[in-house]
Amino acid sequence: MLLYIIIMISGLLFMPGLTAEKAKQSAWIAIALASLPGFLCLWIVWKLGKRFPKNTLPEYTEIILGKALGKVVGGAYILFFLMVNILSVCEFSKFLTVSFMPQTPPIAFNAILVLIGAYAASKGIEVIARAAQFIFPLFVISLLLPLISVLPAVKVGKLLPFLEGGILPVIWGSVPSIIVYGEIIVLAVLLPMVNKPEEVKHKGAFALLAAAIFLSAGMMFTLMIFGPNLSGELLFPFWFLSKYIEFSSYLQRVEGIIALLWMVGIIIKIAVLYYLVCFATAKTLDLKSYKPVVYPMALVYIPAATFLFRNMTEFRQFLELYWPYLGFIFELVLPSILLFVAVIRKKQRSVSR
Amino acid sequence: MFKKLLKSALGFSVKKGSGKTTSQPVEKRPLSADYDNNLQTLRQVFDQCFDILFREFFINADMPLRAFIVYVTGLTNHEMVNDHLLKSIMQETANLPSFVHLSKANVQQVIQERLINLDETSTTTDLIELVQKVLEGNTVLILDGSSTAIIAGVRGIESRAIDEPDSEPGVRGPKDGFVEALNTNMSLIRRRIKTSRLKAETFETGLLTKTQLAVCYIKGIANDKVVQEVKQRIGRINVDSVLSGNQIEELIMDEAFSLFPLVQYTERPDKAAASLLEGRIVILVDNSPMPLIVPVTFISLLQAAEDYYNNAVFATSVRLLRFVALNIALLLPALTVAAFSFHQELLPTALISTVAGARQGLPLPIVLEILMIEFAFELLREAGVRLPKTIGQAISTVGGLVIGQAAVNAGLVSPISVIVVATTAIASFTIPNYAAGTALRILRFVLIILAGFLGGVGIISGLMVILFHLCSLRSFGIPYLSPIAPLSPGDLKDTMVRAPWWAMLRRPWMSVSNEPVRQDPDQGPQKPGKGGQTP
Repeated sequence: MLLYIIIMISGLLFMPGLTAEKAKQSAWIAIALASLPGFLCLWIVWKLGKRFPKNTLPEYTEIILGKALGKVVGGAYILFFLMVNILSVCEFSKFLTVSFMPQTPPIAFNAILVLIGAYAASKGIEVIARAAQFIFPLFVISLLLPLISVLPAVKVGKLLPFLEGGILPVIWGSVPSIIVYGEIIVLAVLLPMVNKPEEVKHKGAFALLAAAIFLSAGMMFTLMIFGPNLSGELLFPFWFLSKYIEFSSYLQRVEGIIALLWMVGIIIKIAVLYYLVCFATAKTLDLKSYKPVVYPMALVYIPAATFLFRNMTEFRQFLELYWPYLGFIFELVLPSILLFVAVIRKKQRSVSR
Repeated sequence: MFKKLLKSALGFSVKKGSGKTTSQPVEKRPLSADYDNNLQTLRQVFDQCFDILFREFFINADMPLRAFIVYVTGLTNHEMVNDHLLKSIMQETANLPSFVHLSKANVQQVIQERLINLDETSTTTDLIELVQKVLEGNTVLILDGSSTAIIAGVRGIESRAIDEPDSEPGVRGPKDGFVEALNTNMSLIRRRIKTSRLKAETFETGLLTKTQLAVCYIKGIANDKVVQEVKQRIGRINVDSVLSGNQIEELIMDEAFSLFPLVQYTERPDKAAASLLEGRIVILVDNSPMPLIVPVTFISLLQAAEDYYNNAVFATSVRLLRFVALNIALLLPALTVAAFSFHQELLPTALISTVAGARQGLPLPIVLEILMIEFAFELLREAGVRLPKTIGQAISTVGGLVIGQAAVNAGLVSPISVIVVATTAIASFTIPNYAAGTALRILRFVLIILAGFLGGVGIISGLMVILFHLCSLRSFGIPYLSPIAPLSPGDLKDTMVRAPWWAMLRRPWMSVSNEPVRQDPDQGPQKPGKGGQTP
């Protein structure tokens, strides 16, 4: 049941990300490359999950690092998930504001997204999983549709010259995307709740792969249509791509529908992350149930999303300069340390599992 | 003491705040052996009930043994009482020569076992039970000197004849529908499923109405846990009166406040029988022609019995049509509002110019316009329910065409709104399940308002909330949106499409896995060459 959501989630975790991404030249390889650390992250999560089959992330940080330090790390993770969530909300509402409904104050969008996420989170992860399963086909269509319909306008020549500046710019360019893949870390918290844990490795890898393919393809298409320089300038390259869809003379400008389908995807993402935040909070604070935390969290979310970044430029600057490194720490570094420490203390820990 | 007896006999036994279930044994009051005592007690219990009659007589000319019967005149089959009960006791006793020598203690037994030639008889020594049986339509015979009463099942309750179901008509397929009498309804199901594995257990609910419920299921196909759960929930019902299936529904439902129906109703025995064979449970309610079917999933709201009597391909297309109609019924007005208010770029140019021209000079923004027409339509619909059939037709024509046209001509609304609302209404009538239709109506309004505020974003938010709500619903443990989410691919053959019978090899997921395979795999139509016959 939850397996599908993994695929789902990975796909949509990244898709909306693409809208706010800035392109770099020869960038499509960059995106594909960025997925590699994601696989590493998945592997680490999986190993940790095998070690502690019944425990979620906040729980085993306590076990591995001891109570005090573990709670600190757990708290840090809560903040991290919170940040990811807020970013997602921000991202989408800014997207809506800029391209769709400029006159609506962003707080409306933020409030709606957050409240729906809260409602979903209060119902539990199973409900979210089922909803994701339900929407999955629709979402895939919304991803494929722009790609397919844009095919006639594609000029492969714009991809050349290949690796113009050498490999280094490509690697630098892949950095911002890494954290997006790394969001698979959410698995760490969800792992005990999955029905068939042994399949997680495959499905998770498959999900990452699928996401990588989609994104690379998307990036490729963007480059092929707009050329490298223009792509770097565009705010929401994929969105612009959708504007190109034209079935016949009277079914044009359907990018609105695509945007709405994305909204569906991002609601799922927000719901999942919201659930994570509440769940992790409950575990770290040793509360019996996460339900009381859900709606008060909204009080934190909505103002944060609205006031944290004053405008789009600030937002993008944050995403470009600061966030990748922060994300890197939480998604790769910390889990590696956790695994490392767990292995070292192996004799004391895994026996009692 | 006597008062207490009267009270319990008359049904005043609601114990406030005790929290006990109705399965607790009621207080018993034994009959006395004294004839006059019994007679007087019963007369007082049934005081001021004109239709409950007493008939005192003597048994057998040679024995001065008194007896009396109590019965409800409207519920009794008088012929049977006269021919079989009274005649056999008063006259046929002559056939038993030893009769006159019986002592008072033995007489009752002899009468019941040898003389009364009725198929349903039982005995009781409890006054409360006796009163209950009389009220159910039985005739009770009490003899002098015996503290055991004989209950004769000579009920003759007037009942509607089996007729075509009103709410679920069909072109092909059987046309018998359920009636109000529980036994008749049960027989309609039994004649379709002739296996002793079809179990039917009765429950009595409602302290004053003592309505009988019958819980039917096929043992081995229905999920035992679900059956247990159903029985438990019914056992917990502790109310004054149960007059309709709807009350039962509300008392045993999973969630208190969902708009979507968690219990299905039907008026067709073939549908009930089919549900039983799928592993569901049917609850028949006495005096209600609509039994309940549990558990229910969202998909069953879109399925009609007709689908199974038609060609598979045709049935599939009709189902798809219904699915589209569902979307239209829910979304069309909201989409129109969103498109015209916020997302004009989505509409083709030709349409925009026509509609924009038509909307010149109209007083209201399209949101309010559509809301207004929807509201008017709901008024018409509600009024139409109460009108006699002849006037109803006229009103719908008048209301629909004339008033709509007049409104357009007067410049109040634009034709596009009228068209949208009318199409929505027609689409909503294709949904087979009435309760789902009502849910849709309310949600439609909500979505229109959301669309008015935020356009497409509003619609999506509303839809997501609805989706999350649906995903969280469970009907007796079965997730509401199976088999789509959680996905169970084998069951998809009966959701949007109607696979031919030879392809439906497994039972639906919800039933027990004891017998997953319904039929042999190779039943599809085959060319005749295999038999070895030469043309």
